[in-house]
Amino acid sequence: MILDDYSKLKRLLFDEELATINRMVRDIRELEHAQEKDVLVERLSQLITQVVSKAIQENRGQFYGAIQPIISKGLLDELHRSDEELQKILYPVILSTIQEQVHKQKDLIVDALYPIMGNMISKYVSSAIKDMMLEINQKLENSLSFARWKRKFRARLLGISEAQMLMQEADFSSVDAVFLIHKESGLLIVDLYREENYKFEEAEMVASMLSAIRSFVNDWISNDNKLSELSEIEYGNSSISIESAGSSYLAVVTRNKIDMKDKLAKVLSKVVDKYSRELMNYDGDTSSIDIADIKVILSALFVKEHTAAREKKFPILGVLFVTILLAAPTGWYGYTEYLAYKVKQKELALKELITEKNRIHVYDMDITTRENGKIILSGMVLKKEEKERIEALGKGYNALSMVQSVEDDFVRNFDVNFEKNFDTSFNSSFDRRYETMRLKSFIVKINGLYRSDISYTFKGNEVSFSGTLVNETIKKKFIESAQKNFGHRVLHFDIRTVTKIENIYFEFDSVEIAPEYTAVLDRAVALHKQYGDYFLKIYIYNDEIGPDYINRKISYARADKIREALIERGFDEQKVIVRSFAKRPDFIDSNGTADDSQLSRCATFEWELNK
Amino acid sequence: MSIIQKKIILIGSFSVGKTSLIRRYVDNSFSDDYISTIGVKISKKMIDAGDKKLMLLIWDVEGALDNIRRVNKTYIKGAAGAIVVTDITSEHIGETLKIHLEDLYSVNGPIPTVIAVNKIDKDPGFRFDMEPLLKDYPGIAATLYTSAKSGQNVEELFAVLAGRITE
Repeated sequence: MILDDYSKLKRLLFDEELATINRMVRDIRELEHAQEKDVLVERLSQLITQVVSKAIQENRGQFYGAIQPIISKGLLDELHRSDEELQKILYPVILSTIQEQVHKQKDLIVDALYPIMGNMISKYVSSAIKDMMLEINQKLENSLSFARWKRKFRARLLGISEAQMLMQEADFSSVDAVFLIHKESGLLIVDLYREENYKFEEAEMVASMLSAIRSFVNDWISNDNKLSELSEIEYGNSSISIESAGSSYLAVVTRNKIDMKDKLAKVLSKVVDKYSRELMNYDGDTSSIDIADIKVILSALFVKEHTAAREKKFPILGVLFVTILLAAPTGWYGYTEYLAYKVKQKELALKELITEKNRIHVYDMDITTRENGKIILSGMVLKKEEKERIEALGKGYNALSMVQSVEDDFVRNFDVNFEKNFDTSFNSSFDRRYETMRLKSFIVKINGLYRSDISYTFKGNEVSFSGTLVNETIKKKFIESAQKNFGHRVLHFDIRTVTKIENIYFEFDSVEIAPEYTAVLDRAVALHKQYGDYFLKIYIYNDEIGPDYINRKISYARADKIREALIERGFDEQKVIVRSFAKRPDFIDSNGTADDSQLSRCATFEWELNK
Repeated sequence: MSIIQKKIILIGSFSVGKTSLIRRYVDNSFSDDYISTIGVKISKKMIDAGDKKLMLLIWDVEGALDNIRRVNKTYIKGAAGAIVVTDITSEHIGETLKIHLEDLYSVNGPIPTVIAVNKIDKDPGFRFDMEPLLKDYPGIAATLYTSAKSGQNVEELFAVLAGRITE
């Protein structure tokens, strides 16, 4: 019982603590147990996923950096370990990925592969051609005929193999279609086909589209050199060769690649020389131009030329050789003939350089050589850049270019910048010729710019100009310029002007044209009938009495009256341009008198070629 | 009777319905894709104007306002006439017409021009005062209120222009 009591006492005193101690003992035991490996793994495995995802979430880069070396190595090991197995796994994935890429981004794939494929194919093709050549040569070796010996001889002469000779003789190329197209508008002038079944259904649309593409390429892409132009479009084994000159261009559809450049330039220059004016003014109406004749000229493009060009040179050289031999006994005469021949050759080479190699079309081209050996070149081109280009090309030939361009700033300063350091006495026949060229260039330019009809005569020391110019201002400029450039001679002018039309004046606040001006209007219409190219610009001014907006309104109404009156009389309304102002004209002082106000209410007239 | 070809420019700001007008009208045309590639689309239409038979080659040109590119003026060169398209929902009809007319005239001078105010089906009573433009742009031959949707005035648009060109 005592024990019981003791126990009781103990329980009373330590019961609570005992429970705590027991719990602690259990915990310590559990901890000891937890350090055992299996239990640790068991517990950590529940946490590891959470830890990794938290690490990735918080700092992906760091996490990746930490594990990358292991992963890469692992992958490499895996690759080394089981090539075949990997292939089995990856093969379908790669195949379907490529298929999908090709389907979606064909162009990208082609671009990526092009450099490799291009080389590969060209290697293959050239080796195939080599084999073919060998085979042909072998076959040839085994056959004997007169033609064969002849061919063999020619091949030796040209320094090529007989097989190459055979290849040259066989010509699979053809010209299928030829289009002559107006450059600015893209309108079709002539279309011509090898045979009926090559005919284009929508030739006019094709011409327009080609012109658009040409403009697009010339304007948006080739910005390095203003003279470079689209010259070829290739598709499959066909191509469109383009050759342009002046106001038109040729587009030729060919098969199996032929170099048409020279032939195109020659044929086109034939057409342009004969029809330059008609081509320039072409407005879509084929009856304005001799289509049948142009077709005859263009049809030369369908004729195949075999490799005769090279042989043709021999007779010329031969003739020269014989000429020199024959001329030699005649001594000096022969020598000068030879020099003249050299000069001519040089002139021809320069001409070829400009027109054929650089494809610049020069209107009224003239080349002549001075006694000091300097070549003088004159003519007219469309573009300023062409003119500059010719000047640069001429330098290599000791040539002076007097070629003028329609685009020159001629309207503004009206000065023909000819070389001035020539002998003004002009005694030699050459100097007369030189002067004639200067006159010709001068007049071609004036007439081109003002669509005028000025002509000149050059007799002794006197030059006479006659014709019609647009107005007094331009007439004055023309005379000044002529004096500046040809002042060393006696000049005569018989120049009429299209124009002066008297002013029309209005009563205060009135928009009616007084009957006395009927004659003015009639004269304007009569002049218009005669010189249809010109625009009539009408400037309406007012007296500045009263509010601006009222004056403007009155000016509009007066402008309408004059415009209507002119159109009623048969004036083409597109050629009437009206500018209305509320202010006084410049020739009236703004602080003027009543008389000045009367004079300010006026319409003045100007003829201009541009709007 | 020979057929006379004429180049016609169709110009106007983006989304005024130029291309729909063309589709409503032409005999044949190249694909719409070209307009986004090289900035022009070519269509063809045969038309009788008086005693003449005309083949209109219509150059549907991206206008200056279509995007930041300048209008390719070489496309406009050599045109015999033009149609400038705007629509009744455009905010600044006058100003945009001016920009297109300037582009046109700076290249060709005052060629015959017809203004098409499109999408008139949305508000049949709509009218725009063209008077101030006529003073500066003497080539404007007519203003027509068109609808590519209903076809209203579409044939007339080209007929009026063709008539004016052959006058």
